[in-house]
Amino acid sequence: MIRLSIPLRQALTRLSLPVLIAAAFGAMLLGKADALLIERSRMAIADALSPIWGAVRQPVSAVRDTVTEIGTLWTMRTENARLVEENERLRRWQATALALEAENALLRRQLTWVPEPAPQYRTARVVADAGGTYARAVLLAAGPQHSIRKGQIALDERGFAGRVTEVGSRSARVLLATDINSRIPVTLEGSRARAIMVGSNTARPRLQHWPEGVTPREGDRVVTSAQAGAFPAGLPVGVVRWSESGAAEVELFAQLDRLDVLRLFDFGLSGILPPEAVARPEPRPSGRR
Amino acid sequence: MGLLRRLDAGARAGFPAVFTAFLIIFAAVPVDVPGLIAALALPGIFFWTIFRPAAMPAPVVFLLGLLQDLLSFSPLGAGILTLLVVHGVALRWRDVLVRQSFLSAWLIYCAFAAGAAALGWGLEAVLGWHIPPTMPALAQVGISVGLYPVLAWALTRLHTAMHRAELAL
Repeated sequence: MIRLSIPLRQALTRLSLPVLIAAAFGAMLLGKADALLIERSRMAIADALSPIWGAVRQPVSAVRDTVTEIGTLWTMRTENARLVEENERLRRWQATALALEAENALLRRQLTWVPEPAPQYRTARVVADAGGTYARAVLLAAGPQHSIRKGQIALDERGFAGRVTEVGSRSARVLLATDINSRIPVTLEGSRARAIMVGSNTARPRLQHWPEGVTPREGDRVVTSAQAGAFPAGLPVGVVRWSESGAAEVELFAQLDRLDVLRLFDFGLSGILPPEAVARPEPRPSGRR
Repeated sequence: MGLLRRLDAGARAGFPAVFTAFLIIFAAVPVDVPGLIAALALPGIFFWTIFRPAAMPAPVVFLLGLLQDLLSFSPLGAGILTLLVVHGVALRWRDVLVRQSFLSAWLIYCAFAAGAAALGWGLEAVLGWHIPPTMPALAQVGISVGLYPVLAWALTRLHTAMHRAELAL
């Protein structure tokens, strides 16, 4: 180590704080100027740390499961009554669905209907919360040779959860539908009216820009719309709820507060990507279709 | 100085930074608490700046802020500047702060947490060029203030143990 005189060393220590504060401003400029570099270093760190999170996650989810278990036991009785009633109702719906399915098959046989190909998907485990104070996003652990790409659509077991916005070599970041930057084109199933679902960093995103003369009805099912070529039509999103303050919100089917595994669907769509995404998605490997 | 003793001293000198870095990394595990990373980074910086400034110099604070920004996907530089300002102010008032009782240190920390959250909110607004919601910032202050006594209690014990070990040399 280089030996410095004591006054010089003291002066250096005193100088280091202003210099580092200036460096912090430099980092802000760098973050604005070269978003791609920052994104790459973020994903490199996330790649390196995702095994640690994968290990830590198990005790964390064990504790959380215990807490939810206690809550579930508490509400078991009312839940049971509700389920019996719901089961009754679903049985009626099942009969209707079977009748409709048979009718649908009959009608299809009489037309030359080309069935849509089943989309490919892969599942990935949620390992970390990649959102900051003002963002809602999760980090997925993927194998070293994954095929995740930007713009892929993430669904949990119930419905739409978000879109892949950043991809590293062993992890990927999914921007959730509740994030304030999330804008999802949707269709209201009752009226077939189109609208935009805008995230607000709360549990329920808001509905905006529905057409004149149509009002979203409480309990209307909301599905994705194929407009702008970013999503396929008809993915389940949630149901319309009117808040106390009189805003139309969407209660998501997906349970975004307890995501464990996400399914990433590759619909091969290359519609609107997040603004920071400089690189377009690579074309899908040929030979898939 | 023997090798073991030197290792011991090195571990003591490096512990505050490593411990804070681990807190930041573990805070990124999904538990659905917004602002947990920023809320956990602050007590470590505040405590060690006051009680062990030699082990928490400004460059280390800079690196911890960088780690926080990269992990929390917030605009780069916001966390760095916030932590550096907290570090600088705490260092300037160190002579007063080090003599406070646990309760008054906690109250002072409340002011620091509020100031840090306000600075973070302002930087987010300027760097993102939009008005961010205030609720997450308030939640961050609440979590940070609530966690401080627990962390400070554990850290005080560690600090006294380390101090005793140093005196024994």
